[in-house]
Amino acid sequence: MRGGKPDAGGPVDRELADLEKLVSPRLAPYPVREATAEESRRLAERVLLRAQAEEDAGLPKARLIRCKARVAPSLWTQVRLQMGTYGAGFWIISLALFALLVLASTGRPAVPGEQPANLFSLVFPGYVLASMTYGHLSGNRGMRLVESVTSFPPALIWLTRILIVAGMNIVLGLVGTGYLALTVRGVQPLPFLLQWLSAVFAVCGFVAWVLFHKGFRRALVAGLAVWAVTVGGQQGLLWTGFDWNGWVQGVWLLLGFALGVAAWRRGCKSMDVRQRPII
Amino acid sequence: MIILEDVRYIRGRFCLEISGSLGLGPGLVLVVGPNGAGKSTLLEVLATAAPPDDGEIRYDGQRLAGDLPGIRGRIGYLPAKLEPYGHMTPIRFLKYMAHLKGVDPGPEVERILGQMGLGPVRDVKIARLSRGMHQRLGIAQALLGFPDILFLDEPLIHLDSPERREVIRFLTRYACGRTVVAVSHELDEWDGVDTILWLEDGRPAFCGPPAVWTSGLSQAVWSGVVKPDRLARLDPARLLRCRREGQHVAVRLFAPECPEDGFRREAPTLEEAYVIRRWERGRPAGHSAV
Repeated sequence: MRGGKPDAGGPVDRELADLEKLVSPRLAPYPVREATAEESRRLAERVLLRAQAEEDAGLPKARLIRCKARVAPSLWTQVRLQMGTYGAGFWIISLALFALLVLASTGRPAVPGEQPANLFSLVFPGYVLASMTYGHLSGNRGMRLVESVTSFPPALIWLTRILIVAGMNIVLGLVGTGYLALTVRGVQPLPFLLQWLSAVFAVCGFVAWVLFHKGFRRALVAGLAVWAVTVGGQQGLLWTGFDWNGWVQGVWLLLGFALGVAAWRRGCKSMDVRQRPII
Repeated sequence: MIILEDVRYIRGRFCLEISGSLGLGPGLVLVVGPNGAGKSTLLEVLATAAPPDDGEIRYDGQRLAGDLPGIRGRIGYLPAKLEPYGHMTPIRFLKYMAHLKGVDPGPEVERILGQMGLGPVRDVKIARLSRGMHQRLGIAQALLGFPDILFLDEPLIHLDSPERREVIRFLTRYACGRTVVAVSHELDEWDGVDTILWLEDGRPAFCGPPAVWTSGLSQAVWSGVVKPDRLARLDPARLLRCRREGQHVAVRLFAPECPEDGFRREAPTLEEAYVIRRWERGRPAGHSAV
């Protein structure tokens, strides 16, 4: 402020006019008029709402909640929870497929001295991939988003789902192997078991590992490739007459198991900000 | 407060770009904009469901790179078109989500069920519930753990009028001391909005309080009553609302000057200000003048 007498039309007035011209565009968005009745009513409503909110004991205060520790679900809890996400239809169809598979296997009488064709090693890994794809395509994107935004690594949810499907296949496969060993002539339980078990472990292990590192699509491609290699390899080795089949299957089994464990351990430990959620 | 700094998120041809610094909250933040402007994408990025390609987001000073689990533990998120598992019941679904979030699945779940008016249907299969109930359930799962940051993508969709009022009242109360960011097309239904964020083509076109949103417009809002034959002479692009009243039609429109004798100047509502602001940018108003 300048002191002294006012100078109408003088340099101070001109300066003020210039200043007003300069700042008026910047001040234009701000209200300079009197508040209307409607605006006053809205203001009063907001003040009342806020006052009510202050008194509202129904909502816990944010600060208190922030201090609460979140408890990560255990593996068993996670498995139980994720099993609940599959509807009854999934379990019924799985059992029906399994029954058909066992029937198809028993319906092929083995030639003496030859192993019957192992449909289990062909179907089970494919079933893992199919159920994974079905879960991804039929599931709701919104659900996948909310399941991803939790304090715990979202990849564990998908790894748990793979574990559930693989576990179900293994249990049903063991039952089926036992049944075939008892009813079908020529079935050697241990080589038969190793054959399909190695294919299931290899596919699940690779899928889990690639899923965690590269996302769903690449995991599916990797799973298909491993499925083809294991099944094709088994048939190729049988055809060439090499006696290494058991060793090769053992390697596949161990490799799949190791990859699955590695994926799980990495999933439990890290939560990388750059890791894109599996949606 | 959530601060976004030079955030860029590119998917295909779409680019969400926040140049400089943008602060959201505390309080109720309403995100508005036309379809495809990037509102849902912004919420996905804010909710940590989609990591930005560039830039940084800070949640009360916490950085994503430093404490992602901690930040996610403070976030509740309702994405668009959430469809909970149909074979579950609401109580089972909320307990499932509570376990995933590491929240006690006991009394809190019951309390949220009650608050969202889902108590009577707690044991009914979700597939049998109405779309409105699904939406309430979606909001309920976002509230698990009473997070101090809430992102809601169109929380009012599928809700009837009383339900909308109820949800808005609840969220307005909830926003005290917290940050609630909601995407909505129903601007005029929200009462206690603290900040409006307007997105156009993936970029913020406005971010500020409602008082600033409704002022500084090049056009004013006018209301008056006209005969039906005179309605045709008014520019339909400027009509905000028409309602038949007996032999006449009550009209609200925007114009720089009073369009006719008998018209009265009105304070623009949030939605009217949105229509005018879009018109100022040369975009179709996108409002329904019925």
